[in-house]
Amino acid sequence: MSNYIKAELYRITRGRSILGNIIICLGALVLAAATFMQDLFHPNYLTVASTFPMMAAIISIAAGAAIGKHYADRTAQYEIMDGANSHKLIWYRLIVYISLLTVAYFIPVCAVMLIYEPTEKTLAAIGLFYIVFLRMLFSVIGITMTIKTPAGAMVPYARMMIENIFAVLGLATNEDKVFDMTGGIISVFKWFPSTECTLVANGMLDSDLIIKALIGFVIEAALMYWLAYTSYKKKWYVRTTIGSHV
Amino acid sequence: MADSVITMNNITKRFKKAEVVKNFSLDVRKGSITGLIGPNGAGKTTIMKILAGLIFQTSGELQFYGSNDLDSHRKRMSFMIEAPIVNYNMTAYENLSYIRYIRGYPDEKRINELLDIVGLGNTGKKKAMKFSLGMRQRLGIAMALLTKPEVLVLDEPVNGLDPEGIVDVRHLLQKLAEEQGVTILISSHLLSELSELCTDFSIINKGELIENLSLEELQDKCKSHISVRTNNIEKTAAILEEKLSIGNYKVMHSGEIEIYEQLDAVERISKTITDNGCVITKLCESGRSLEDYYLEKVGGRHE
Repeated sequence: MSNYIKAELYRITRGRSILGNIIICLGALVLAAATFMQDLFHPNYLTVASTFPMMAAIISIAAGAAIGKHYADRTAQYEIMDGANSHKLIWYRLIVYISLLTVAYFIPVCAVMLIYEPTEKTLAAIGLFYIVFLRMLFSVIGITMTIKTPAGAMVPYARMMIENIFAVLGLATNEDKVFDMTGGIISVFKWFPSTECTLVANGMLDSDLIIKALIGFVIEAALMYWLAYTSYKKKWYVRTTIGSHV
Repeated sequence: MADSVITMNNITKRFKKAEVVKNFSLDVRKGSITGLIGPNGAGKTTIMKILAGLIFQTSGELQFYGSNDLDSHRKRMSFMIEAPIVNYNMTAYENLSYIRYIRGYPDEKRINELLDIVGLGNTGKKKAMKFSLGMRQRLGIAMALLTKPEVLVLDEPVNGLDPEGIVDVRHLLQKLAEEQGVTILISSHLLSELSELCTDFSIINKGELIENLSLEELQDKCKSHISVRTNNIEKTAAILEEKLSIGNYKVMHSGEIEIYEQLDAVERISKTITDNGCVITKLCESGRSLEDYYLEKVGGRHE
């Protein structure tokens, strides 16, 4: 697997000008800073919670775009032609992109929160945010590996927009809620990152919420892993030709 | 077979309702250069994609080195299917480095060595997006050769190459097969090239196998006549009829006689003509080219 990790790091760092690499690094920092845009003077977990799902979606799009380009360029075929094991192909991507984006985005955000408010609540919130962050990355990597086009990168963004609408309109504690999330199909949205983070932003962070977030993550990660694995194992629509022809 | 590297048995590939490959069977021997010949849409690329693991066959059996564990044997093989897979934002060196990492090949020096072999040694920092079609093709070939594979599967490797490049690739592949025992499966529309390169041929049309044959078998089947030129054509014609009982011949305007029967008896014909007092100035076995044979098999027109 180390071969694939090295090759992926080589692929995403080469072929770009120094200026291009600087812009990408600055972009990650700008996103980290933008996470606090709700209240720049109080960069605590409550501030982060309101913007974090969308920022996590945007940052995961970067991973989706890089993986999608791998398919669009057909360079992903080299891994298949090398006889790569499907599990390895999923894990190397998870390792590369989770590591890179954790360092480039998540750690700076956490550092700011901890410097401003080094409390247990902040640590608990960081735990929940990381679960959400991983969930977004598993989702985008799983979807991109399944549909094998750069378009996979846009799925988390669209999903987060929908989730946000439900989280805002149906938040249980909000007196102005438009619909009730306690029953029916809409109650499913209570298990999604946007709602979880909105609850945190409203000061409802507790162990139950973290456990719920963890369960949600495990279910979604398992589903995405299964999708990506089955897609490779059964060779669902492997893009083998430029264009849409198989 | 013991020395089989690739064994395909009754491979069928169906895309929805379209059957692209039908009961295709092929046995590629170790060290051979097998040419996969067929018109556009015959299913050649589909067969190669199945070999590369990019798609599954709908039915049929595929084995590498007599084993069903295909993925582990793919590490011993290299594929270049359709257009070369090149990262356009990288230089030739970087593209090869990328393949070196993916395949875990330790020798970094091999990259410059290969770039020189394929004539891309002086491309420096030029990115692949600025390469011509021929240069990309050369890069694709270098990428396939990087890990010194035991088996090479090449789909139209000389597409876009200039005549010099075509000859270079032919010599390179011949050298690999002769000196390193590399087994090669190659498809190309340049039948004259294949006829000079390949030791075995597989003709496919509309997804169906037409014929698998060796170079010897092809030469044998392509033999169509024996051309003879002597100092006395009339007398030679009489000798053929009276001494050799050959009636199926034709005297050409060029002064040669074309004999269409007893094609295996060249020595006897030569000896009989000479023994009867004629001087042979030319004697050769002539026949159809691979192209003629192929066109006859796939039902193409030939003028």
